[in-house]
Amino acid sequence: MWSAPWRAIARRPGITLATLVVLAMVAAGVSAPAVAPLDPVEQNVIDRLAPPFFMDGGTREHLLGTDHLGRDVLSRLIYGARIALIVGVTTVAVSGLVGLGIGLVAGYFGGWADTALMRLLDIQLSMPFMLLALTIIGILGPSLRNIVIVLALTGWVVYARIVRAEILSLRTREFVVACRSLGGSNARIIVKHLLPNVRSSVLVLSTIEVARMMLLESALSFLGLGVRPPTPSWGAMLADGRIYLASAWWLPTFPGLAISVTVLAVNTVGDGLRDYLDPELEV
Amino acid sequence: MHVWLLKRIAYSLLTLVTISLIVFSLVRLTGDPVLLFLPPDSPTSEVERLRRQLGFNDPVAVQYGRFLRSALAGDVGFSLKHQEPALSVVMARLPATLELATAAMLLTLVIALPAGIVSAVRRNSWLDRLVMAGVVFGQSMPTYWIGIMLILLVSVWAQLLPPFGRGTLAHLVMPSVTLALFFTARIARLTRSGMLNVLRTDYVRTARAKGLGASAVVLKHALRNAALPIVTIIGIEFGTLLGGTVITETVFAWPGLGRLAVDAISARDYPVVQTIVLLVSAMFVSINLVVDVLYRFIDPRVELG
Repeated sequence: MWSAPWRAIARRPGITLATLVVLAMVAAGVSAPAVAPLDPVEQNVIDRLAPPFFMDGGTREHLLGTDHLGRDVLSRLIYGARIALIVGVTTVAVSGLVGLGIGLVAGYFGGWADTALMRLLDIQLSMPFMLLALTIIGILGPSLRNIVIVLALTGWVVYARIVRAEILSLRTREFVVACRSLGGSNARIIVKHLLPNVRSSVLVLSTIEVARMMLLESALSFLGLGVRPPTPSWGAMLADGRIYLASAWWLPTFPGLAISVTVLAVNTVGDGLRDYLDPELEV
Repeated sequence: MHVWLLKRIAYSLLTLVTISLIVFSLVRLTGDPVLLFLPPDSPTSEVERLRRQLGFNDPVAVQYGRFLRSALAGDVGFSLKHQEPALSVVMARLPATLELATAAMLLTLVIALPAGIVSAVRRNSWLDRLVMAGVVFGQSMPTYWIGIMLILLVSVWAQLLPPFGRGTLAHLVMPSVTLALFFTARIARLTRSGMLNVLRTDYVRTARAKGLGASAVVLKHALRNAALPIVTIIGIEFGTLLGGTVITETVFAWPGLGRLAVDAISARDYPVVQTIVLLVSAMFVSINLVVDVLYRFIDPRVELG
């Protein structure tokens, strides 16, 4: 299944570009210590608020300038990719697995488990998420772990709903009925017949969810409820730079660009995957 | 219908009770609430006396019952920071948030509905591509960044509009545009897919075959049928929008609920946090209820389960 989608992606230049951006971002995040020109947390008061290289007074030492503590913006952006990546991937892994499990159980076994799980899902959907997230993190204290917990709490719903709907329509199909009449166990039906058939939807959803989780993480960090300083997170960099908007416009501009370009690229890859794997999926 | 309505209302209440339980337990997680009322070096006997007096020695279920009862009576606690009942602190900020949310919603509808309809009707045209590109961009850019960039371009460089605060209509422009952007993208996309589904149906084909003009087919036959799900979504989104004001209000120093929530959390003013979460949830749940009821009332085909 892997070579065909890549060929489809390569045929569309926008999606090729987006894929390259995502790969570059992953590479930057993974190898941040090797790629970043300077230490992202090292302060240098003499060099504070230096402009990017293309402006008057900019230097090649700090290509994108320095922040209010004299830290190198480019290096912080590269390390920030790491945080965005960690949050995006872990929250999607956790919420995807939970949502997949719940959707499977609800759709396959039905009955009271289905009713209870779907009620839970409805209740969760009718809560104002942002406010609850703020409250929970405000009370538990901001940290990378708590962010992942809160975001995973919101993420599972989408998977559960879509997986359940697909399982409901799969469980009466001939190949499932045939497997059961031949004496196949529930476990066998699930592993051999159901999971392979929801794989593409879950894959598409996960891609789009990575983008959404990155946006949410940056929003929480922007509000001061994200990872603790001095760890560089794009949202927190933006929040810090906001105060210097009038004198150092590059401080809030570059982190915002980094978030937008990354999320846009991930979303585009997700859209491309959907068009190829699962065009009917509505997310 | 009646049974369905009762079930639906009971269900909304259940949701609210769940939320109140979450809020109640969260605030209990923050540590001994009695210590908030006393100076830090109070003797243990004093702490114990106040704890008994305020009822913190009772079983948790009793405490929750008491919390629920007073919350229903409008007493959600006292804000130590503002030296006022939490409810009046919150109510004072509510109009600002409603103003912002309403302006943003109007803006969203004016842009998103025509854009979604046109791009569905002219599917795959350059206009459709443009709208869809706008949708992807709108959903990928962080709201607060757009807000800050607007401040930079419009207030700092062009000096056209005030960068923050509330008061005149000019103050409302940038916050509502910022808040509207994400929702415009969402609703344009949903309108488009809703219209595409309807345009595929047999009755639209029949209307076209009868020789009706394109505008009659789109507006009378298609839009009417696509409108209901869109209205439902708009109702739900309005609730989300109320929650989304947190960030926009922080960016533009807009004196509403969202900003109050952020301030209250950093000041550990939990009665206020609690009140905001309960109030917004109640609004959210009631909007969903009303939309759901209207939906089933207007469209008799909808199955009453």
